[in-house]
Amino acid sequence: MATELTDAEAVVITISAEADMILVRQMLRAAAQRIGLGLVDQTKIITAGSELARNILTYATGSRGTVRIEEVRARGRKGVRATFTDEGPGIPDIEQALTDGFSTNRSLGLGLPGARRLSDEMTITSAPGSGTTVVIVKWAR
Amino acid sequence: MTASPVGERDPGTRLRELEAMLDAIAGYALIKLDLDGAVADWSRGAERLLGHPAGEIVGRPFATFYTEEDAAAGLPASDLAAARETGRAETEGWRVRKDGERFRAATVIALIHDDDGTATGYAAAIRDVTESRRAEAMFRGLLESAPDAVVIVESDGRIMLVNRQTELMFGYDRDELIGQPVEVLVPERFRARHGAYRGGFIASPQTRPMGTGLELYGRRRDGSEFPVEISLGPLESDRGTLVSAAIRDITERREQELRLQRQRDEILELSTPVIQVWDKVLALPIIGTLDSLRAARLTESLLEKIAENQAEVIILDISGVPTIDTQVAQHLLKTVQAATLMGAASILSGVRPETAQAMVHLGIDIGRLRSRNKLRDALQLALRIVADRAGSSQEAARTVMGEWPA
Amino acid sequence: MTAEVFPIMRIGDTLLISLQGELDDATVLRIEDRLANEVARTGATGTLIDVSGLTIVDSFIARVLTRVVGMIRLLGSHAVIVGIQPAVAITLVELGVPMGHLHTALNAEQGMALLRRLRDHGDRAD
Repeated sequence: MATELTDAEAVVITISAEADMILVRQMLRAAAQRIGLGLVDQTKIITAGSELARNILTYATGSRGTVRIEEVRARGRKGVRATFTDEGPGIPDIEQALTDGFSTNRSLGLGLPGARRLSDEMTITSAPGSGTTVVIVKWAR
Repeated sequence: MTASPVGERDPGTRLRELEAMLDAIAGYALIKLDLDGAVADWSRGAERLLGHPAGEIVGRPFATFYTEEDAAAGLPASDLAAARETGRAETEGWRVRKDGERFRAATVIALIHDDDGTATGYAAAIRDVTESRRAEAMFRGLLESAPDAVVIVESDGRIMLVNRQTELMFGYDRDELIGQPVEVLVPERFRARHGAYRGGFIASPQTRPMGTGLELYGRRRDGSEFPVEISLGPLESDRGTLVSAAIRDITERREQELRLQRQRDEILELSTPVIQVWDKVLALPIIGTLDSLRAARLTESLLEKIAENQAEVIILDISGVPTIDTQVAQHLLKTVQAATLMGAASILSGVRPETAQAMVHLGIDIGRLRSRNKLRDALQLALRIVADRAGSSQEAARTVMGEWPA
Repeated sequence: MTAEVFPIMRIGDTLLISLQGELDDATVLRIEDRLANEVARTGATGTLIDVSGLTIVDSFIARVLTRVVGMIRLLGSHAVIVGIQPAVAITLVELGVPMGHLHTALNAEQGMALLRRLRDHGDRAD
């Protein structure tokens, strides 16, 4: 499905300290409200973003990464898209990381399965040694 | 007539041979005029086209073939003058046959010279283009009357023709559009891509809708945008492959789709009401099947009601659910978990023996979720829980009040 | 970001703390510290943690809450989390964070009643 960017400006935030998490949540909230997401959907996408931002702080090399928050449009609906990138060690087995290991395996608490359930779409690109990119999208109903 | 080497034949023979060749080319009438514009020589083709036999027409003026209005306006003389000036003039206009019938003629008039360069007269070749003009007129008529905006684009992307609907839809006069690149009708951010698509279409032209799956937008003169649907078709012409695009404004349709969706949402709301059956007790009778969207709505609505009513117990009645599968069970369990986080106790009611079996077979663990077969029993249990809690609440209040002197 | 101040109120045998806004690591540690001290100092039998001001509870915050509750329990007190918002409840369930072991209530009044029952009947109450 072809997705277009809308004319709204994209926001790029460097994530390197806890204080940045607040900004990430605020910007996600702003974008979500702008496209008219209901409170529940807002909460879901902000929480998903919060999980992914915290992943960067916890697992990325130098605890550093970025997120790009932008508004997208497809099939007459608007959506929020957040792209998280880091130069971390990468995820060796994406399939495994997406399996719910939350309660049994603390080291796999990457929050990825949860973030996926909270988003409408999620795409992960990662390879050992070359960093990780996670894209999440939430569409206005 | 035996063929003889070219140089040896006399001019008269040569002319007649040429005449014979040209006569064979259907549709062309050849006339030779003297310097005053009177008919000097006449061909069989000319007789066929204009109706005058050679004997009658030789010596008559060129103006004979023009309409009264054109002759009065001096058109014959100015056409000849144009040929004198440039050596060759092309004209198009209405001409008249011997019987008075009018036809559309495309004419080429050339000044002819003898060997030492002196002008000796004119040669005129006349072609009847009535039919093709009529076809063109019909085409344009069709174009103008089309309900959609039609834009015809040349292979280099320039607009060749537009119809009235295009003017109305995009807010331009057609003069402003003809000759412009078609991308002027496309929002800026899509222009580069559009150019590429155009190239692709020219390469393999086929009648088809444009950009299936893509969101297409048109851009009006004032910069505003609107959603469109476009059908493309190739047109072969003497100027190469043209592309004809029929454009439909689908703003209305979009709005209608949105309205329908909203209606559907409202119906969903109405069909899954949360009922307050008692003070602090809410019941949610689930009827029919539960898809993800409906389940999500249900949960949201229920939780909001819990907050609104300060409910302490929720009863989920599933007697109206035909089959319990893993998906439905998951939705239910998630709803219960969320309600629990808000401090509400949950009771499942309307669980039939088959349902219980199915759930066990599916390995669904309802944990501490209470379950009753009949709604009445569920309600009884609910009231007991509420009473219990009220009791503790009173005790807690009394303790607090005991601490604070009256 | 200036340090948020979360006052701990006392209602009889019960402590009440209201969390709101953004909670970072440092703030969380401070809260844990103060609660532990207050519970120990007052001998409170119950603590209400009001989260109605938290609009986003991600897995980090959820773990923090679990930790705080566990700490309070170790100090011989019961803890009830009150005021989880509907949107937050739905999100937590979807996130898959295990919260089944936590006691929760809709508001302070229900929370007090629950603390009463927990005190009288232990953790099996309700």
